[in-house]
Amino acid sequence: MKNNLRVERAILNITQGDLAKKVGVSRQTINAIELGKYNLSTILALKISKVCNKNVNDIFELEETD
Amino acid sequence: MKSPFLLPHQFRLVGIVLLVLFVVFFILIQFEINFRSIFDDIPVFAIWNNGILGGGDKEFFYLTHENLEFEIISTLAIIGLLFVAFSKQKNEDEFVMKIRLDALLWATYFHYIILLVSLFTVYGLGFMHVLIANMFALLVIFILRFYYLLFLNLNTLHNEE
Repeated sequence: MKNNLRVERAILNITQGDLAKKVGVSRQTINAIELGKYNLSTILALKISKVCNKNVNDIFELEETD
Repeated sequence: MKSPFLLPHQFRLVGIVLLVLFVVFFILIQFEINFRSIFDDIPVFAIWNNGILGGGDKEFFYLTHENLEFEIISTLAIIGLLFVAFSKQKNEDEFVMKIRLDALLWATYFHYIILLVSLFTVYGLGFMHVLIANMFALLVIFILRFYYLLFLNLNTLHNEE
């Protein structure tokens, strides 16, 4: 799964820590998601999309290997 | 991901205290300072008592008196390890939970590989030591693996912009 969370964060101008606090996870978790090391849960994806004010599909995208 | 089976974070400290107590007892016993007199002759209900170490005419379901040194000290270790292994991290979230479950699976495989190897390489009374170590080994391996994986993920913090 690909994501452009880093870009979305830049648009909102918030740090990993800020986003983490808003969605109730640790900064390491946001970092791992951005690096593609962790496939987040649907609930967390929905929370992040709410903060970014976008659809989940606009932030997270399936890859060929998925 | 919320798990109802994890203990509150504070239990980790309690677990560490219990493990320190266990280590102190264990070291003292290695130096021939034992605590058998303190834990001697305690009434217990035996479901089964068998073999060369077990005495008496009865074998199943009876009240007896036993020396509980081994039992008490083992309990310190087991409860301590459980508390350390399964108390919540300060920053417990779904990512930590995934790391936790990955570590548990890894530890279970590793534990049984070690046991299989010992089965065919350790014989006689030595194997009884392996079995005693087995009482604690799975949790010890899990804790080491879990904290190692957490450490690896903490190390990626510098990617913060």
